[in-house]
Amino acid sequence: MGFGAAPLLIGLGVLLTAGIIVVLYWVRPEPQPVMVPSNLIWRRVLDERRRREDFWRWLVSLVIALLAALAVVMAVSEPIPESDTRGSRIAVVMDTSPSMEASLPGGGTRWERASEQVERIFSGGGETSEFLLLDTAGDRGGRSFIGRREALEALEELGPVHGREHRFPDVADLLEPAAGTELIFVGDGVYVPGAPDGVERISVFEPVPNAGITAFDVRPLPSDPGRFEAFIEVVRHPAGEDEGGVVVLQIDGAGGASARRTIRVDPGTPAGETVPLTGFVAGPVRAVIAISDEDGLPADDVAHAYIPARNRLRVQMVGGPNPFWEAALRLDPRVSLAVASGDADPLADLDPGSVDLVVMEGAPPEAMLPVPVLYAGSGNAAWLPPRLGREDASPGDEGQAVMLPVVRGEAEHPLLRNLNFEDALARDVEAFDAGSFERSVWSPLLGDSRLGLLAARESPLRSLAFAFPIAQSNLPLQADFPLFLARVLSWLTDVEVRRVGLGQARVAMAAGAIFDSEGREVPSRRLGSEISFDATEPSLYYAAGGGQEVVVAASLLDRRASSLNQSAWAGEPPAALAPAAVTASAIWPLLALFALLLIVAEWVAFHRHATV
Amino acid sequence: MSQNGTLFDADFMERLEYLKLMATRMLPSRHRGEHRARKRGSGIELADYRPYVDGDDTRDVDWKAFLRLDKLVLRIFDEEADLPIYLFVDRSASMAFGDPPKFDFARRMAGALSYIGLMNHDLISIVWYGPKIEGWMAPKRGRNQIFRAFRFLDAGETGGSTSLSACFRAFFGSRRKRGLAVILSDLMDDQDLLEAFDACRYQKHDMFIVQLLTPQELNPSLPDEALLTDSEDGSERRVRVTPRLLDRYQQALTDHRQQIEDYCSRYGFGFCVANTGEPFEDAVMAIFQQDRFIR
Repeated sequence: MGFGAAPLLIGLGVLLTAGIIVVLYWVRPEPQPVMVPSNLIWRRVLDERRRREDFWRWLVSLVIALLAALAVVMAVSEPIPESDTRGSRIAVVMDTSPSMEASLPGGGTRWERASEQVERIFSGGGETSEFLLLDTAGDRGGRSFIGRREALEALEELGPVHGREHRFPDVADLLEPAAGTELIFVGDGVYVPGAPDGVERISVFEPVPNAGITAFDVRPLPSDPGRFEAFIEVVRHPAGEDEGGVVVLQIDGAGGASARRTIRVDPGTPAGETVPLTGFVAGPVRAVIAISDEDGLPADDVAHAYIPARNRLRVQMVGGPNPFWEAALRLDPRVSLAVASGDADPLADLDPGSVDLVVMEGAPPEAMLPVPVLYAGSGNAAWLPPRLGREDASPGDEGQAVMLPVVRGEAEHPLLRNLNFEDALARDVEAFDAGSFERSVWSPLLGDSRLGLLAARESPLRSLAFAFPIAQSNLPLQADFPLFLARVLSWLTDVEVRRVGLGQARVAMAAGAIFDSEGREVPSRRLGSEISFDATEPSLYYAAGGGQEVVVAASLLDRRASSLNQSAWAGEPPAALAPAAVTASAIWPLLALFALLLIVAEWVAFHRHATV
Repeated sequence: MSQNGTLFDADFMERLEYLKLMATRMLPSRHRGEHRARKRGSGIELADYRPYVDGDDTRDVDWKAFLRLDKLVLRIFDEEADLPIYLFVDRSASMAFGDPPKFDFARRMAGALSYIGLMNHDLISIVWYGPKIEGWMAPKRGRNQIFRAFRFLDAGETGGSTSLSACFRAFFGSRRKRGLAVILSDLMDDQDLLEAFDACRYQKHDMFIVQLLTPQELNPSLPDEALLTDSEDGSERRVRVTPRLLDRYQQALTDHRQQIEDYCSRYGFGFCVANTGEPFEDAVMAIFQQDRFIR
C-alpha cells in the first residue's frame, strides 16, 4: 500500500501520535487528595490487587490506543493500495487541445474522461512508482518524475488550452529502454493524430454532432461607412447519419436589434453567409447558432463582434474656413461639420459630449483638448511633438515644395497601409524632431529619421499632427486621400476593437485592467507594453487604462476545434476505463471505521468491566 | 441532657417516645423492670426441682413432695435481677465522618438505648473508647438518670485511633456483672476484632454489635486518581479508581462485615449495619427486631 502524503510527513505523524499516546499513558495526573475515615478496607483491596493483571490490562489498553491512532494517521495519509498493473515509471501525455472539451453522448466531456483515465493510471501505480505528466500544449515539458500525490495535483491543474499549437511532445529520451518508462498518450486524435511507436494510446474519442462558427466579422458597407454587415462562416459535423443539415443563425446587437437566418450546411463544408446589420447601432454584436441535435461543443456555437463606429461624427473645425478640410470632411457622410467663425473661441468651453473631433490649423491651444485632435500647421504647444529649429525644419528653400517621403503600401501603421502618396508635395514644412519621438508619446507616420512630417499619438487621447498646413500641400488631391481621411476619422474617433481567439489574449496597452462583459475584473498580467489575460470563454472583454479603451471580442472561430469528429482514431472504439483500483477515498473511511471500532471496543471493555 | 445541645433536643425526645412505644408493641410479653436472669436464686417464682444435696438450704426443701415421694427434693426459684447494659461508643477520628457524623449517629443511638434501658429499670453504663477507654459513665438505674446519660453523651468528642481489644481487655479485666455489651462503632480497627469480641465472650457477656457506616463508605465516589489519607493514622494510599477497583472495595467491605456477622451468628450475638444516611430510629428498631436488647 502506498500513500498520497509524503513519507516523511507520515513518519513524523506516526511518531508524534504514538509518542503522545505513550506519554499520556505513562504520565499519570496528579492525584486528588481525599481524606477517608480509614484506609483499612482500601489497604486490603490494594494489597489484594494482582499487579501483573493490572500491567497487562494497561498494556492492552495502550496497544489498542496505539492501533487506533495508527489507523487514524494512515487514514489521513491518503493510503493507496498496491497494484502491479503498471511499471515504476509512468509518463502520461495528455491531449489538451480544444477538441477535448467536446461533450460525450453519455455525459461529461472528453477531457473529463481522459482525466479519469489518467487518475486511474496514477492510482494504479505501485507504491514506489514515479510519474511524469506531459501535455500537447507544451505547458508541462519537464522531465522531473514526481510522486502520485503531486501527479494528481498536476492533473487537476491541467485543462484544454486554446490558441496554441498542439503537438505530441518530444519523448525520444523516454522511449529508450534504458529510461525504463511506460509512456501513455490519452487524447481524442483530432489535433494530435498520432504518437511515436512504443507509446500506449488511450482514446477518449466518441463522435458527437456539432455545428460551429468558424468566422465572424462585422464590417462597414463600402458604400456607406455608417452601415454594417456581418459575415459568418458555419461548419457542421454530424455524428452519424446526416439527418438535418440546417443550422439556425441568430445575430443580436445592442438596442434589441437582431437578425435571424436558417442556413443549410453540408457536412464538413464551411458555409458563408453575409447578413446586413440594418438597424444595428454601435456596440456588441453576438452570433449564435443552433442545430436540432445535441451540440458537442458549446464554445463554438457563439461568436462576438463589436460595431465600433459612430453613425454621426461631430467635427468642430477651428482656425477659420479652410476649403481643403471642409471639402474633404463633407465628403464623408458620417461627418457633421461645425466651422467656427468670427471671434468666437469654440475651444473655450469645449464639451466632450457634444464634439467628437477637433480639426484645427494655425495656433494650437496651450493645453491638450479633452477630445481627439487633427492638427495641421506650424504652431508649437507642449502637447504637440517638438519641432526642429528653423534652419533645420524646412527641408527646402522657403516656399519651395518638398516631396513627402512616402509610402508605397508597405507602411506599418494601419492608417497608411496600402495607400499610395507617391506624388505628394508640401510647402512651408516645419518638421517635427523625429529624434525626439522615442522619448515622447508621439510616433512618426511620415518622414525619415530626422524629419517628422506626420505624427500620431495613442494616449491619453488619439491625435494626429501634420507638420505643414494642409493648404500648402497637394495631399488632398491624391487619389487615396479620401480613404486616408476616412481611416483617420475612424482611427481618431472609433472604439478600438480587437478580435482574438479563446485562450491567452494580448492587448497593446501600457497600463490598465481587463473587465468582462458584466463588469468584473479579469486577472491579467503586464507583458511589456501589452496586457495579457486568459479569454476562457466566448465573450466581449474590455481593456481600459490611461484614457484608452479597447474592446476585445473573444470567439473560438477554429475550424479544427469545430471538427470534433475528424479524428485519426475515428474507427476505433473508445478505450474502456482502467480497472478501478481501490482509491484513497475508499480506504480512508475503512481505516477511520477501524479506529472507531477500536475506540468503541476499548470504551465498552472499560465501562462494562471487561478489562478494568 | 444538654439543654442547649444539638443532639438531645425536643425533637430527639419525641423520637424516643416513638421508639419506646414501638418497643412496647414489639415486645408485649415483657414486663418492665422484670428481667429474668439466668442465675437461679432466691426469687419467689418456682423454676424447677432438683435432688437435695448436702449443704443445700433446708428452707427450700419441698416437704410435701418428701411426704409423697419419700425423697428430699429442693425447689429452685428464678432470681430476679437487673440487666446491666454496657454501651461502648467508638470516639476515634474516623467517627467524625459522614453527614450526620457517625459519632453523632452513635451518640443518638446510645441515648435512645439508654432511654429505653432506663425506662426498663436496667443498669446502663456508657463507655467512650478509642485506643483505650477514654471515659466511662458508671452504671445507672432509674428513669431519673436519663439526663445524666444525655449529658455524658453530649460531652463526647472524636479524635485519635481506635482499639476495641485494648478497650475490652481493660474494661472486662475488672470483674463486671454479666450483661449486654452494645458496641457502636464503624469497626475500622486494625487490631483483631474477633480477639476483642472473645474477651467479651469469655466473660459470658451477651453482645450486640452495630457497625456504623456512611453512604460514602458504602458506595465511594472518588476522582479517577486519588490520594487516600487515613483520618486516624495519616497513612496515604494512591489509587487509580476504576469500576473494577470499586467492585473490589465493595467485596472487601462485604468480607469485613461477613467476618463479624459469622462470628456473631456462631456465638449467638446480635449484629447489624447502620447506614448513617438513614434515620437513627431505623437502626434502633433493627436492634429491637433482633429481640435481643430487651429480655
